[in-house]
Amino acid sequence: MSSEKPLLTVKNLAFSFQTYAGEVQAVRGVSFQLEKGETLGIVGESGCGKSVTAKSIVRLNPEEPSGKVKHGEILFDGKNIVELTEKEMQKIRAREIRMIFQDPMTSLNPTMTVGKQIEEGILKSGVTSKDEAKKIAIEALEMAGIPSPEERYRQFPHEFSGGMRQRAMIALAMAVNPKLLIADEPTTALDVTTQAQILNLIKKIQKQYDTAIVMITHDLGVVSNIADKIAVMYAGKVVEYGEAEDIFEYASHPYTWGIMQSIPPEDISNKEPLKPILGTPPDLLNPPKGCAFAARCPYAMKVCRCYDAPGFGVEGNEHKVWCWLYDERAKQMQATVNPITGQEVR
Amino acid sequence: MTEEIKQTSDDIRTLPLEFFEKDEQAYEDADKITRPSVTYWSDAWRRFKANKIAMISSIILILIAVLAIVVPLISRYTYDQTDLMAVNQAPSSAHLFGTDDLGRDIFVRCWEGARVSLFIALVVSILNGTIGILYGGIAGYFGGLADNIMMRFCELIASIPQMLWVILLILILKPGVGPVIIAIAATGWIGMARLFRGQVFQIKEMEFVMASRTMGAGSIWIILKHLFPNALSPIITNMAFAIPSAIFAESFLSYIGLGLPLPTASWGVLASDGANKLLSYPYQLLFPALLICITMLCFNLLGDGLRDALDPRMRQ
Amino acid sequence: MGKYVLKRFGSMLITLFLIATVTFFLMHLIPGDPFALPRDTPEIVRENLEEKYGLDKPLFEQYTIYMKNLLHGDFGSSMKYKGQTVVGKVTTGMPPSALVGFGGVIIGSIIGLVLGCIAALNNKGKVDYLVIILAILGVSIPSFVFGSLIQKIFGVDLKLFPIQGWKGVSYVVLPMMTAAFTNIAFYARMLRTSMLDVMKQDYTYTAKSKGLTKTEIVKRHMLRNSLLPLVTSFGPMCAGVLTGNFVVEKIFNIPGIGQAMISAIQSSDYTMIMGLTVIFSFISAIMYFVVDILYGVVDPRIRIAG
Repeated sequence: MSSEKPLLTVKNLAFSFQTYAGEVQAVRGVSFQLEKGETLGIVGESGCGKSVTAKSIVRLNPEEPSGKVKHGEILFDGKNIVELTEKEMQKIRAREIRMIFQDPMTSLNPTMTVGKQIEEGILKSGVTSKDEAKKIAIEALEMAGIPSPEERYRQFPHEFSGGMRQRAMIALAMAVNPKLLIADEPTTALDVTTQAQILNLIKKIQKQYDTAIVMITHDLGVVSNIADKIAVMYAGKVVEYGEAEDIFEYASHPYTWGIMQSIPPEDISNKEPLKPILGTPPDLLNPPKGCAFAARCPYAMKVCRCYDAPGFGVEGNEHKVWCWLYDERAKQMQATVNPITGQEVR
Repeated sequence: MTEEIKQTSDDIRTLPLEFFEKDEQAYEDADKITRPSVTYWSDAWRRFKANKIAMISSIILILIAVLAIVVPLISRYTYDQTDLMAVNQAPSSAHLFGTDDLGRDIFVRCWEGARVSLFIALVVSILNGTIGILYGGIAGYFGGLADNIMMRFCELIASIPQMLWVILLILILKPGVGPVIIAIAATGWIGMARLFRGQVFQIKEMEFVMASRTMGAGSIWIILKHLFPNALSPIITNMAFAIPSAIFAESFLSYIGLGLPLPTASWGVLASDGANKLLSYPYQLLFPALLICITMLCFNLLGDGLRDALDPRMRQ
Repeated sequence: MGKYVLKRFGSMLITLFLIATVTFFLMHLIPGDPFALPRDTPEIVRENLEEKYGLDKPLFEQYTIYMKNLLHGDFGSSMKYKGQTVVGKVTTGMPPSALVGFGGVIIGSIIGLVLGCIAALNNKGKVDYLVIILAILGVSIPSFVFGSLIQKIFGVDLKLFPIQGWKGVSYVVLPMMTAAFTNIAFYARMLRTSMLDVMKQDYTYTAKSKGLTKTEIVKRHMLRNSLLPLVTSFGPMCAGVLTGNFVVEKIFNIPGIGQAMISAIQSSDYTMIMGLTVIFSFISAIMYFVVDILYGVVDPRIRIAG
């Protein structure tokens, strides 16, 4: 990592929704940073706040009064996104940060040709000539691996298959060569073979353009071959953060252990039963005191129910875990074995 | 990564060792559901109660219903009692809403009219519901050719403006409470049939129904257990909205001269009589019109409230 | 698209045929045989009518004669007033009805759509509540109450516009206002609902994520999609217009086709009622057809599928 300023820094971000039942604290203090050209995977189960975190970066969450950034800042290229006016934000969305969504079937306007939708975005990014924009749009479609792009340019979204639509979405997002791409579960709604193609496409494009990516997913498998860094989220907080290899090799948080153990092994002859994580995620209307995972954690200690754990550094580069097991006092009281490495936690 | 989660850091550093003892008991409870399960109905009721407008509307409607029952019973006038000595009188303490051109007390006639109009509206709504559910249910259940023919039939009926049907049927049946009900319900059920058929189709495709089929559940079980709870919200909403439109249709018929025969009082009859005398005796339109408007308003607001309360997607 | 139009056209023809048939037999179901001519009918009139309609012949034969006449554009004539044909009534009544009706729909839908759009963009704001209240009031006040009311206020009390009749431009205002009133409420409510729905769609977020301004998103992406479901409601709406706004024409005494229907009902002119009913139904069936085709033009998904 170079010493120059990171492209994106999220600091202690909290986001809440107002519902008729009360305030839902969807994100409760999330921090991470991303360098140019890097990929960050945010992993967690549904409702853990990963999508809300991602959408905060482009400010696509519902605005006040229904949604609100409670505290924290999002620094992108030195500008605090939280404090920008809507006008300034539109400029950033037009040129610098683009987003692709989970469901390609619904994320394109059904009554406008695909080409027009891409072109519209290009015209927003500073290209003024329509012909030029069209040329760029067709190139983008081609780059996204869509055959006969000139023809496809004139077609409507319903004439595209799901995978093709996601490619079109990628073309739409990448046509302006943004510095940051936010991908909110881009492969979840696709079948497995298409998933792999789309992931490869994203990887290829990233290399080509040196774009930074925030990839949201619930599937550790998806991030394993694309992410440089991983943040594991649970109940609106990051519980473990580090470089991808470190997370896979030295997974440290009991929740991370949980999700890794509940992935079916590649070797199907392995008849060992999967170990699901018991229980359900907490209600973010009234988040529990202390560690939110404590109620489902087989290693929980009394302290976990009273206090949030501070971050502890563990094996690897900048690898951190927010878990009391790594406190000296916990190690004095009992030894805990990391089920992934098979070694005692240090 | 320099910052830490904000908390009283002094506390943490001085925590005694026993805090770090394993908490076995807690994990035993992990698989218990963390949120108390709320049944659909109590949840819907809670939402409905929170909707002040809908609550006020239902209270007003109950009040109107009570007055409609009570007033004709205890009043010293009857709805068809004429008094040629007191014709076209303005509202007074003797006649709260005044009298009409035959000296009949408009106050009593309004509440008698409420009985008739609300009766017609309720029966129409129930008929619409029953016929629509049966028709739509059969079409949806069998699907294929039967469904195709049945739905074409609906389309045919719907391609003629509803009011023309009503007029034709009243001409055949001759004006009266029964014929008015039949005429309005004769085309009113189509909306419900389409809606319910849609629900049946949707539910047939749902995975949880397939799951329950594979577990050997019979059709009746599926209908009771899955179809009705899911379709109930649109059905109730549709029936609630059918009431104001029936009141509307009845008053329309009276206005164009196909209403109930004399001396029956209904809101439609009263309002169309009043409308004809608006220029000389505006109060004769004012009271029945106000009652119609308030009732329609309340039913519309109630319908909105029910729809919001019963929509499972609103659950959080 | 061509195939789709053809298919819809075919089904419209079938509908027209069925409407005519159903109306014919329903009318002959009316107890007391209303088509029997009154006893004092002059011999010559009786012969004429009997010859024309075959009133003395069996029902089925009457039906074939009737259908044959329809094919020739003859929808029958009045059995009460000599020389009045259904088609004649419709041609003289259509202009005022169409003027008031279409004027009402156009003014009402424009105001309604604007209000609905503003309300949706202001969701849960003050304007939104105002529009909701207006919309609910609009469906809660019967049009004859509203019409009578503005007739009294603007015609009788303020003397701004003539009260009744059809003699010039100023006579159009109050009827058109009445006709517009329900439409405003209807369209405001419809557009608000469908726009709020579109607002939650992913493609709206996609549009936003491209850096479009709010106005651009509304204009280019939301409006068209939220108007789509409303196109279907245009059929019944236009059909309602052409079949005459009964109530409005009665209040303001406009010599339109709605008024013609009401007077036919009141004078028990059954041949006229039947003829008008069939014509009105035909007009509305044709309107539905036109609207369906229009829908195909607006929504690319149907264009391809058809």
